[in-house]
Amino acid sequence: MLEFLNNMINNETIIKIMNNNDKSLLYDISCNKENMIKIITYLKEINVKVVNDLLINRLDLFTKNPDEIRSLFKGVNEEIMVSLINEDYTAIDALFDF
Amino acid sequence: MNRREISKILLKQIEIEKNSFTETDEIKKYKKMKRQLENALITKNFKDLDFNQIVKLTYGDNKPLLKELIFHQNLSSNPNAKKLYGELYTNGEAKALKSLDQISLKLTEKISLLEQEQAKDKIFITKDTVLQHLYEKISDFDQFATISSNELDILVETLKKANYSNQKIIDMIIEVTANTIRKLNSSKLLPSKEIEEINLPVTSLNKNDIVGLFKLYRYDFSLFTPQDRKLILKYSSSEKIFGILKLFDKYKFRMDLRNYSSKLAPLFVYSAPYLIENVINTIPKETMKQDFNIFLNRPSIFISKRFITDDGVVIGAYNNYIENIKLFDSLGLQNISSTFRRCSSPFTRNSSQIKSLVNAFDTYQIPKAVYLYTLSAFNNYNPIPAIDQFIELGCLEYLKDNFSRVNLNPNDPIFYRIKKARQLSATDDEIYTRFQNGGAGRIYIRLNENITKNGFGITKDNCSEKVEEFIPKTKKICDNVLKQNDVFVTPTLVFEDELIQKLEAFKTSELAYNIGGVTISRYKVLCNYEKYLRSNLDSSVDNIKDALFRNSILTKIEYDKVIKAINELYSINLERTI
Repeated sequence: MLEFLNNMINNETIIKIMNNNDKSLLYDISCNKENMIKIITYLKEINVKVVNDLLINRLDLFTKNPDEIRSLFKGVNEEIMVSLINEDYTAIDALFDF
Repeated sequence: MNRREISKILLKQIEIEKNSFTETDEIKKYKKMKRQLENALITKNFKDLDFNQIVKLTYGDNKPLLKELIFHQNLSSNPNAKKLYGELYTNGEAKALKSLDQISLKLTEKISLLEQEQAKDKIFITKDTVLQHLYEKISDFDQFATISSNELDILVETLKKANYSNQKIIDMIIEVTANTIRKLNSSKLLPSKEIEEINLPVTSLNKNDIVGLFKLYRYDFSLFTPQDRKLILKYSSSEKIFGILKLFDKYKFRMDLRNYSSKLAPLFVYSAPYLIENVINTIPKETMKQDFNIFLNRPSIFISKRFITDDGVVIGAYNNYIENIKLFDSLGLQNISSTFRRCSSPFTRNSSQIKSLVNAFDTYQIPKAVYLYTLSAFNNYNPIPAIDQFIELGCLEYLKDNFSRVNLNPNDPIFYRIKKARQLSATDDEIYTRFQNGGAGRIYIRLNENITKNGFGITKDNCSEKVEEFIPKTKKICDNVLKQNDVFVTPTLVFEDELIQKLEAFKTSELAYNIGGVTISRYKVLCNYEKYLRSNLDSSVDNIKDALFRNSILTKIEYDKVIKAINELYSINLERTI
């Protein structure tokens, strides 16, 4: 189901994603392969270092349209937000506060 | 015994109700006609078709069309027609076939409209759905307690219909209730609920028909990816496609087939118009049109079953979604769309787990506004140990402001850094800071850098050592109980237990005990002990101690203080007893 992520993340993370998320969400992710790859690439580009934590614990974010994710980061001070997320991935919730 | 008897009666009644929802004669008539027409189009044999009836049903009194088709019918039954009429025949045939294709679409449209009319009553509350829910609740003791008074009325009414006397009905309900309570007291909660499994048959639709159907609603079928086109043609049905397109049209949604191909295709294959409409009706009316795509990001919410095909397994989340929406709505969640946009996963999680977490958060007095605003708190299967840590470290205020932190692992270095700071007599202000974003509006609380970064030199590899943590031995039998019951249980039996009643002398607030100067999460102790009692472990001071120390970050000195206070508490009482 998540084979398409093989080149982007390690096996250990893939197993954790599978264990931590319900099967319907995993199915939705499989309907969203290209967008998911774009979101992962974008997060890495802006220097988010906790992509694996986000994949394991906030997989629903990766069902979104990549443009929406980009515009959420553009709507805040990107550098501060990235540093908050890198300290603690749960800070990503704050993206939706603004 | 009575549970089984009631279940049987309910199943029988569900069947009766379902059978009352069979296809009407009108739908059957249209379907028969469509089959005949499709066969004729394939075999190119039109001589047995009753064009009079077909045209009347689809286009009303359309004499020119009827004339044209009957002319073609006469020609096609004449083996020499092609030779005799040449080009005139070829043109006539092409024209007639086009008309027949359109008639076929018209029939599909009519069938779908009739089915939708019929399905309208099925949304949410037909009798068989209510009975089905009731049956599930009766069969599942975890859910029995959630039976509403209305449902109880329906149950009584159903049993009356089955000719049971009033006294017998009362006896049956009392016995089932008593069994439920007994089982609740002794068993593990939340068994996973299976959803219906369907082997999806291959339908192999005619591509031209489907292209035409999409065209009817001004959509270009070729905008789907080749893979999604293949999926739709392989498993969907023209009635379903028509029904969905008609539904989108009704709500004035224009689907972006190119960009949402892989999210829309599953709807045409595994969903149904009435399921989609039910989901649409959960979105606030004012923003329905622009918000629909937010929900489309999660196609599984439109799918109610588990489908098995040659192309893989698809698991629907519709039932959980509807249950969770009802729950969140009853708790006062205001804007479903913006919450779903913020964090969609709790909406599709097992609804029993979500109910259990709501129960846990309420027990821990987390304000509803806090957890409804931070639905990502529901992403964690068991966030309670993190709440216990924040209580024991005196940082509940911070947690309430940053509730997604319940997703932290209870062994996260952050907890050890707070512990270290507390050992160095740090005040709250030295642990977290309040700030206003942009100088106005809401005040946020943020942990200071010494807590979030590698403050005090604490990393995940040296946490224990840096705070001189003492880890007491746990009892194996208690380990097993907690391992098997790793979800939240509401403390009830514990309040009847004498040892716990004595322990309550240490209660300083609803959420905390102060035992020998050490803060211990009260509900941690009560919940652990509740699980021990429900698993028929003896009530003992040893088990109290076991429940007390789980997940606490304590030094040996603190541990000794707690032990001393506990021993004093129970020995004083023991002396009194003697």
